[in-house]
Amino acid sequence: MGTPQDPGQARSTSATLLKRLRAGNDASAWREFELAYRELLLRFVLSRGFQHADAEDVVQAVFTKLVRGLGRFEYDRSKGRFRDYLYRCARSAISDATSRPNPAAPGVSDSAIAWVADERDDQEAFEREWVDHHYRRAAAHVRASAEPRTIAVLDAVLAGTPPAVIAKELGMSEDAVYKAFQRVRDRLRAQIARQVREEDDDA
Amino acid sequence: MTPEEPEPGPAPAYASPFDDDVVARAFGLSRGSEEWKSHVRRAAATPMAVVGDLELLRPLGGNAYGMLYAARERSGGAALAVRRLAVGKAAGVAVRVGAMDRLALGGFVPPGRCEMIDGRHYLVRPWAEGLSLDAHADRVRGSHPEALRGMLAVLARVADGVAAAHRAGIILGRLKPENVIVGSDGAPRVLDAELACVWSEEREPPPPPYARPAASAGASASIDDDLYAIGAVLFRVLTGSEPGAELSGDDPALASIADRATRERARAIIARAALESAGGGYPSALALADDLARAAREGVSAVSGVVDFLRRRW
Repeated sequence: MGTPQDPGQARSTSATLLKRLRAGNDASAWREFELAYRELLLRFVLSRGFQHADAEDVVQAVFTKLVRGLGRFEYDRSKGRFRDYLYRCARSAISDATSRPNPAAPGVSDSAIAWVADERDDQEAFEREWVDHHYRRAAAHVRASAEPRTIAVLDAVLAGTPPAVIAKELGMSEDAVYKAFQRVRDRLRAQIARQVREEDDDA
Repeated sequence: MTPEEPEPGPAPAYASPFDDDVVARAFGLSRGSEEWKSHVRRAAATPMAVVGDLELLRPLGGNAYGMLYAARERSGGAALAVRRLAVGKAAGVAVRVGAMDRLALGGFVPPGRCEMIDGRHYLVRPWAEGLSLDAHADRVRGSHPEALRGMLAVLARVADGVAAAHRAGIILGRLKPENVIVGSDGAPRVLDAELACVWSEEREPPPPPYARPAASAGASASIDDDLYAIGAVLFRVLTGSEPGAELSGDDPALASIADRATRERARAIIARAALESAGGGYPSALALADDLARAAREGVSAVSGVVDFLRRRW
């Protein structure tokens, strides 16, 4: 296993994926789901003070909970967003990991033991990770599909290079630099909107 | 730089109230806001975790041996692939990694090194640049008649590498398209062969559809496993479909191969690769490599393409 796949390439909506997962025995649905969400979950659990290896175990527990829960789960957006469901599974797995009989056992760091059930703090952390997750996917998508020169403009702008310098280095007019930048920003915005819409699309 | 002047043109796709609310506020993408730039910078630059001298960037997937990550060396900046080895698997993998490294087989990604970091075992190797064979095939299939020929040539090189492994006494047992990387030079390289070997040694039955049914049912490892897998991979790259539980040259999906000469050669190769070597199958990976190379040289003909077209037309 070593496929450097782009997480931005996951195509199914979460609702569609959940339906396929509930139908059972769909290995490609699991791969797609894992590809789309493992990083978000890992980053969230790591942000709660877990060491990397412990975080992996917690995320595995989240996936196990998802497998067990999917049989009973009916996705209904009016009752909550998909990310709320993921968040609840993650928080429950963290709670399980930190409330084991012997929390000082190898594999659970002190900072994770000190984890307290601060719902608001956790929710905000998950929201931050969720936003970054969509930025990563959208940026990967835009980078894979935009003109190399447009990406060069984006990178230069993000690095703080003045437009006049970018224009000179890339052999463009300043006006073209502004337009390229606007173009990539709008594509990023549209892509994030699409991802968010797909995530909660229960059609 | 504040390129936020009004833009003419149609309303953007995010204009519904739901999207407007979520995208504009949560993502710092309101018009006039520069906040999104810091989001892009942070999302791109923040490693997921730091372990010793390794920055783990993102997970790529996992198997029984542990989760694989795209990673970067902190001190030198080298791109890496890092697997956090599952508990109980490290000793077997370390032995096999050493053995594979000494062999230095052509056509294989070097196994890298085992490291103990913070009390956990990690398998660290250089990043293999390229596309997985299935992704490569999906990209080029149908683009031009020579593409099929190119895929046959790639498979011939894979079979050559497998033949070298067999000569060194190594049976992979778990070859599949995701474990073959095609570089920008078109050369294929097999990934994670060391893990496949350990897996075979532990006699864990490989899963279908790239494992021959006898192996999945628990038969001991033999070169037939790898020959079958190459036939199944050939089926996948030429048709774009996963092979069935039992590989067959008569599978209807093979009819999707437009070029008749290639189709017939592929049918014959796949049918023979599915047989045991003692029962009429290929005697060796080298024999299979020769057949694939011959099909790559002769299989695609413009004439047969024209004949096919005329047959369909009339």
